[in-house]
Amino acid sequence: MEKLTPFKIPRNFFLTFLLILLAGLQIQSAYGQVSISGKVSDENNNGLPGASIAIKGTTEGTITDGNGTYSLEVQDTGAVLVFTFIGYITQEVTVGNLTELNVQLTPEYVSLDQVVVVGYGTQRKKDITGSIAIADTEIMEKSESTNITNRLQGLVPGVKVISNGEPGSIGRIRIRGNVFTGVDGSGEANQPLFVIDGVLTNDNRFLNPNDIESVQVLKDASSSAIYGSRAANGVIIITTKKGKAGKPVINLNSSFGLQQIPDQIELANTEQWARINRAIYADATPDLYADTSATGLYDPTRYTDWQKEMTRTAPVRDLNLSVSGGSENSNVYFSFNNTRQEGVIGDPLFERYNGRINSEIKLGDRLTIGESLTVGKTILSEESGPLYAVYEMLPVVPVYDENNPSGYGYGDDTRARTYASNPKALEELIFNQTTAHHLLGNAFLNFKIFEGLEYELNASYNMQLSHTKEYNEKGQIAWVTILPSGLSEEDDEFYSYFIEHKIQYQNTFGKHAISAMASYVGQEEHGRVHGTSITGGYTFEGQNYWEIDASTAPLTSYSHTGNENTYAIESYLGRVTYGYDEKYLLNMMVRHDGSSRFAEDVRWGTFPSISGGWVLSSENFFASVPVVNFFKIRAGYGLVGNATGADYVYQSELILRSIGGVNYNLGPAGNAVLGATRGRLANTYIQWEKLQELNIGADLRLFDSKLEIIFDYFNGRTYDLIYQRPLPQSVGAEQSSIIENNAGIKRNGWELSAIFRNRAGEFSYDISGNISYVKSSLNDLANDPYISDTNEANFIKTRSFLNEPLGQYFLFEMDGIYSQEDIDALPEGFTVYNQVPVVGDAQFIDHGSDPNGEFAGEPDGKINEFDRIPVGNVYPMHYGISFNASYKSFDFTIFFQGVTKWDVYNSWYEYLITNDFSNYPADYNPYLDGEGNDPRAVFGFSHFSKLPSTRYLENGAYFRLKNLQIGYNIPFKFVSKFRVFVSGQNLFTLTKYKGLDPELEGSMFDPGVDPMAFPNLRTFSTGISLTF
Amino acid sequence: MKNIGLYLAIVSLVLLASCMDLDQFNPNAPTVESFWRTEADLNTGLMGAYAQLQDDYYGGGDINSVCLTMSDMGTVTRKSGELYNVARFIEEPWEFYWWQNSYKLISRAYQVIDRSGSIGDNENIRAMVGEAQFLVALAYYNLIQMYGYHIAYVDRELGAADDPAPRGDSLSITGLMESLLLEAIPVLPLASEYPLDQYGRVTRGAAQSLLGKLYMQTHQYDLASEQFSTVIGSGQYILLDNFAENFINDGVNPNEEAIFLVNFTLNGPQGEDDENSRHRSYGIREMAGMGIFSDIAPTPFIFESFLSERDADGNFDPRMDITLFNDSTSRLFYNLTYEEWRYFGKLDLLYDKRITTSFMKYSEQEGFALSGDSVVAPEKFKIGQTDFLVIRYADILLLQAEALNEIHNGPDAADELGNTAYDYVDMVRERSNMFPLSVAKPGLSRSEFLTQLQHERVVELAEECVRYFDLRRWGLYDNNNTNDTDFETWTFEDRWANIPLAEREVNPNLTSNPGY
Repeated sequence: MEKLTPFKIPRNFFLTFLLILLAGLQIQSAYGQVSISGKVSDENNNGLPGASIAIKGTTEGTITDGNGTYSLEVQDTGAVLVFTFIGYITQEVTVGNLTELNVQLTPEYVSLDQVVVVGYGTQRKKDITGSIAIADTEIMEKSESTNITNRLQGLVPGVKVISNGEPGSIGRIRIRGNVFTGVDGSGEANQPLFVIDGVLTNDNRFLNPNDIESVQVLKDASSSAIYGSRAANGVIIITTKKGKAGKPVINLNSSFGLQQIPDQIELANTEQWARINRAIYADATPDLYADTSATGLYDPTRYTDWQKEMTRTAPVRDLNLSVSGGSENSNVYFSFNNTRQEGVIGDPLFERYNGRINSEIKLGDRLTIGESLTVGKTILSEESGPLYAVYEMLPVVPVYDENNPSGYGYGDDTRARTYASNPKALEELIFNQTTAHHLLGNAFLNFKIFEGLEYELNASYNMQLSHTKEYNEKGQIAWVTILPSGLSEEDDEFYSYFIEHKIQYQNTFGKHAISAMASYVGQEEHGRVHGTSITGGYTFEGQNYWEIDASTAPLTSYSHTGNENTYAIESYLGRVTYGYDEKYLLNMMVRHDGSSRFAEDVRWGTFPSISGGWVLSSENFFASVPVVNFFKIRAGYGLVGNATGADYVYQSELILRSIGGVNYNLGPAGNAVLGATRGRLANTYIQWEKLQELNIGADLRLFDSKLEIIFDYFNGRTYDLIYQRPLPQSVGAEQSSIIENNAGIKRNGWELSAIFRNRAGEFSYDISGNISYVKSSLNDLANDPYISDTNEANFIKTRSFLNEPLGQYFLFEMDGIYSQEDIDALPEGFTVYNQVPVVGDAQFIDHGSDPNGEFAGEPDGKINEFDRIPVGNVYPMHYGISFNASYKSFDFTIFFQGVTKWDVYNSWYEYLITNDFSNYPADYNPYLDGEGNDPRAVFGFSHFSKLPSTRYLENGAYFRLKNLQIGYNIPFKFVSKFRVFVSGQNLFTLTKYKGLDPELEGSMFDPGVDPMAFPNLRTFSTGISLTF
Repeated sequence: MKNIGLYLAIVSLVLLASCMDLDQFNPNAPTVESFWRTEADLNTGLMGAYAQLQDDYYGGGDINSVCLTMSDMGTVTRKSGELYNVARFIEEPWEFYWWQNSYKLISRAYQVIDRSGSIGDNENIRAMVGEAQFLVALAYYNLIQMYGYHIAYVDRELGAADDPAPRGDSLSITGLMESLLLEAIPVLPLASEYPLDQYGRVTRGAAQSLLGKLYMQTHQYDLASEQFSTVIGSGQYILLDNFAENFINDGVNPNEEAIFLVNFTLNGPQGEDDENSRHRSYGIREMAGMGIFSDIAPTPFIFESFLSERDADGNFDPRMDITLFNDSTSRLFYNLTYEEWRYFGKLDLLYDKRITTSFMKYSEQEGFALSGDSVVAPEKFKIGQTDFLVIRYADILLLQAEALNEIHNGPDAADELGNTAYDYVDMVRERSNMFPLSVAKPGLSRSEFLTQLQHERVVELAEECVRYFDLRRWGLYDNNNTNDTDFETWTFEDRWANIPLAEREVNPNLTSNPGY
């Protein structure tokens, strides 16, 4: 039990592989009778470099060089050569007596023979039986987003990306919605798995999206099950670029752009603010702002437009250089990237340096080894709070105020009551930067034991060392509170090992195609944090030295943290596929996973899946069907496990520590004595969360394969979800809940995508669209009939009921404000939250419903918490539309994205209107002296008019021009390609939503509540692309 | 050859098949199972129970805030917000976690009691169990005064898998408290029996005083008097010459007037929850640049109580300036005079014109300096180092006077120590240069004496979290309070706070208190 051994590779492992390697090298062959050469060209007679030529029925073959020419020796004149190139129809030619064989390949718009990475193996596109989407990397390349996730936005149905405009931020990505509650219910447990060149990881700021060759998304349980415990939220498989045979290709891409916040919330000016403010305080503090003259106590000459003061146009630039090349037996790809993005509010910054080397070498006929390695550095300064402050800060507060010791303007008692921090001061005084170094490497060895049987070994290492430093000058930047000087530093270390053995067999017997795979996978992750923070100690006049060594603070102002954690998983997995006559396809997998997060006797879980496909278009009866070129229906069913819970949850925890411990002081001088008590209560039964899902889909190709349609329907449920069960507080536990496997969520929905590609002379184009809908609902929850978004009964905005949508709005229904007639018509003794309404108060409808939102019947003459009703639509339809075209030297891409049938809770408006210490939206018109149609302004949070109601529920539908790019290829004889382009992102948005940005997602139990995140930015950029 | 390759691959697969160690143990914290083995462990666990007194309970000001706002001692300066509604009995005092923190104290103390059996049995262990038993009783004492007796009955360490605690009643809860304290009293050392470096632990006198206070609340005056007599006769406690030293950080230490206190200090382990932060929100006025909030202010009733009687020299009661920062004081509050506060703090713009004073006991005064017209901002909030007195000797003396007055139907009979109710009141008054009551107001009847005692307790014990309990004992909590306008919105259901909803939802044994 005391084993805490680090990851070790046994010595005999290397010996074994040395033997295998030697075995491979000994196998030599020498034959060759007929020599043949020629050129492989495209439809325009240009040579196709890298086309492959295989001798049918053997493993022999070659690929074309940079000019599309090849030469090859075949054993006899009866040999058949198979010419293949991605995007072209495969051709077979018998050699005969020819010594020169030139072939012109015909383009295929959507290749069914395209090889798709499906996890621990590959499949031809036409053999796929699960729901696996292939992202269009051409569109991804035309995005200016700095990470992979954001470039996926809107491209794949069922894959939702919610991005924001903060530099370096990675969008929140969800495949088929939220189904895992996670330890904290935040929804973060729903992040999909990224597999980058076989390494299991997350999307990361340091990865260069320009290195991507292909992206596949495994959406349903029957496909993702092969990744078992890590894959319950879907898998995004990314393959990076490899060198191609032929002369070296040098690529240089450079772009420069300008970014700005596209929309503002129009806020009240000084005069408007003062009018509302006087109304608010008229009741609460009559003598404050008592002066009813135009000025009151505030200074009417002061006006600061904080949005104007704080926002700016910020530059973004991106530089990419890649070199690739290769021969028959080896290839290499090298790239370098530098990206720099500045912030539009405050001084955030994102900068990335990244290099990559991918290489592969064949040692003899049987052995291939290779690696992919990327190293990089990122610098990230995050927004330090100005965004909120910009909207909170009053228009009557000046940016700078020399009367204040700090020199910044801030609120005060009588003239400008706000506790907000001065946004400019936050920007100027606070420095916050994270510098991270990354390494992600993978080495592999592939050995062909005999024809059809392969052994592969993968070993990877993923490391990230980051350092965060934050410091600030002392200064008063807000009313009442003071920002003390201070400095904190934190070092984070993360590394993980990954090892994979795989044996794979593939063969065809007549019409029977069989493949089988067995694998062992092990992974261990380590994390370590160490930090120090100091409050005070940086008050040196003139200039401060921002290092721990230079602090003058007493030792009691220092605090330290340090901790470490380790997580290990081990898996045995296998897959069998069977195909009959390319008509009937069967795919079966099973996976056996063990996780260190669970106690020994519940540690292992077994997760099987099965899927099948029927290619109707290959049946004889289908031969007479016109127009349709390909039609396959498929169905899959799978069970996947999930282990997103925290480490060590099954072990009890004693609180016994100096920092933050339960210590007490004894003696006249108060000497500290260590104390201890039980901490988090252990749940020794905590185990795998599970997802089971049925997926039914169809793939259809029409009109000479120019139109391709893919449809999927899915219906699944999660169970044994980790959820915090609240404990009676009388248990006296340090945490008032315990983590248990006690919840379940259902999800169902559909996805549809279509693409039409055509070419007319020199004009070629494609139009594609996708649309998806997913609904998640609470299926099971021990002890509770529902989950609310907050425990504070008065501020509930959503409630998830059993079998109803997750995060359903649960609000008072507002029906304008009370007029005198309304008041007169009220029944005797009518109260709202025990208060008697007056003219101008918010009028809520007396539903008299119960906690489950069921109507109790008649109105009961009072409005209380039981008058909330489920209202609004939380689950929208998502869609994306793109159009790509090229004509002669011009190319054009336009991409729209949007949601429809969606209601959004406008937290911005709620926050600005109900907060007496912030500014107000300009269109907020509270009832005052007989005018105004918003509820009258009252001081404090407890007035019922301020309760969450349908007043803040708005139509959240939007239609956004996400990306537009126009390129021109300049004919230039020294280079093979010279393209210039201009592009724009988020150029316009059609929406009725009044918040900052309708592209939003709240957390799991309040998906439609605006989290008030940084808005997406409008970007104009221009760039060049050179290929030598 | 081909077969060898296959063979080797399979062998290597098997060899490597379990290279990951799935037994990972938390390196950041020990497990509970590895603890509670020695006498030293038991003491450490006991310190963990004591620590709950600091963390948000007495230390974070929760109990203080409730005692003040929900009694007639304090009101809320801002005429809005949750705190304001709590003070007026409109909202339940959830945010003060009184329920949760009381049960955490009970749980931590029962961990000590329940685990002691397997460690051994000796004088030290029995004494530590006695300390833990006192802490359980103290938590229940606070609970029953807020929620009444129909609270969760917990008499052991409860785990996640245990059934929810049953609903208590007056018999079961007071019975439990009584038996805990009666068991603890004989095994606990006297204050003088502890070495100096153990000052602050529960003493026999503390347990006897708490038992006496419990009997007072249940109107068992003879039983209460018996306990108080033992405490007073023990010779362990005195009234300090200087009243003010009870409420400042650098007063006498150890304090022989303190029967039980929560020990706060600055120089504990870093980051420890040992701040007494109550003072943060009790400033006379919110002050830009000083980090002072002004959430809770004294009602005019306290100030007026002091004005009713002058001291032996014809001056204001000397306890007034210790208790309140007021317009006649010569003391400084954060180094500023009252006049300076009037100027800087714009007192003329106070929300509530009636409130012209602020709390002064336990306030932290150090660390501020004037520079010209502006206050030099401190680097951070001052860390509260002032010990909080939970049971003070003067309180016990006045309670003994009250008990004697009730038992003997008047203030003139003596107890076994030879002191009358008048004598006890006079001890407290004379310390503060007030005329003896036996001179000022001789010959009071039982009810007149009780009325006088009610006044004496205000001027002596204001802000010390006893008034809330006093009002309940005297029946003055129930809608006949005229000292505090906050009580205008008191209704019958406010007799007890409701059992918290979060508790009722997961513990079906508990129900709402009457009226909710």
